[in-house]
Amino acid sequence: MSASAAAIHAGLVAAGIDFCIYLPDSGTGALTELCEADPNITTIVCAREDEGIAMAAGLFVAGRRAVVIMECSGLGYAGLILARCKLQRTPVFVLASHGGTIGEQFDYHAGPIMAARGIVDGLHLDNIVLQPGELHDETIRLAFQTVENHRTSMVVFMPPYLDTHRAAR
Amino acid sequence: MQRGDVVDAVIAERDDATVVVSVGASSGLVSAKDPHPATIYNMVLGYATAFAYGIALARPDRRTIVIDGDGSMFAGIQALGTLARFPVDNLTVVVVANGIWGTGDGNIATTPGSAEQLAAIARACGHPGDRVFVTAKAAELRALLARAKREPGPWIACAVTERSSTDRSGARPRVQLDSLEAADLTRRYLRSGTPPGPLTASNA
Repeated sequence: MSASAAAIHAGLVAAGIDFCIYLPDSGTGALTELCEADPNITTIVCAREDEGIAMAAGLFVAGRRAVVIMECSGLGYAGLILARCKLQRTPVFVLASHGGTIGEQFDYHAGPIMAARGIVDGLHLDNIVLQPGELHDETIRLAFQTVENHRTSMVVFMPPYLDTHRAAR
Repeated sequence: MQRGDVVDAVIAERDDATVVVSVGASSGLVSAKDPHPATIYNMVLGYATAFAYGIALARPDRRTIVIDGDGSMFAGIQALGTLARFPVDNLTVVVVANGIWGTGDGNIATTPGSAEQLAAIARACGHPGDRVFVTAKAAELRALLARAKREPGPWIACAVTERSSTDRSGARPRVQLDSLEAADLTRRYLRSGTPPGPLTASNA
């Protein structure tokens, strides 16, 4: 059992999340498996991350609480739809692997992180990087509280030092 | 069939459905002809169908209709695959297939080229053949939309339309609400279940 994934999932549950749209990634695998196993969360595997963000925006407009889970590379696709969401005050809650500044293991993740940070910084989106030893469940619950009440999108980055990866089989 | 015929058919069979319209001329026509509060206008290129899909997922008790353009549909084509994999009964996708980008002089062809090609892609994604249609006749489109109210979808209707002057930039009718106003009206309507009333200074 991944302690970080379990805590983040507990935070999603505490936030009342009822839909999880995700594109599979090793860095989020343990978390999405927990969402898949949760009978109170409907999961949809999207084909592109920006598509998932558009779906989550539609879900919010119609009264649902959705999270989009992806590798941070997907944010690189999503500038236009995230900008539209900001324009019309339709928030999207994104959990993205990587995106921090420490603990990276592979050079090919540098490009996705650059793109993700560019989108987040360029659109002035609220964002946080989860840290080791935090109470992730409470952080996630409070993060979504801001998303819902401010009606602003937020990206929560989950660097590789968190054990949110899917266990090797 | 003209673009206006497509819009007229959707409005005629809409009842209380939520409608999402992609960016361009169709949005202005819907706004002018049927300013229903549960309407999202000018959704950015490539995302109208995915956005509508989210609304349909959220509210299985209500129908959702998206009017997408063929260029926009192809820009967000992966949504057809996701929709086939995780289908919803209450979503109808209407594609205005005029074969051109509705910008500039309106004479540059869109990538899919034809409504038949878009329909073939939808079927190849896994949508049942009896839920994917191509028509160039307004009466057929309206009959299909009426059927979609009675039988579970998702439905994909590729409406072959003629090119018109409204396909050019600057010639298209404008939506009377901005993006925030329309999204807020839709949000409030869907969450309350009752019409929020006309947009005024006090509730804008």
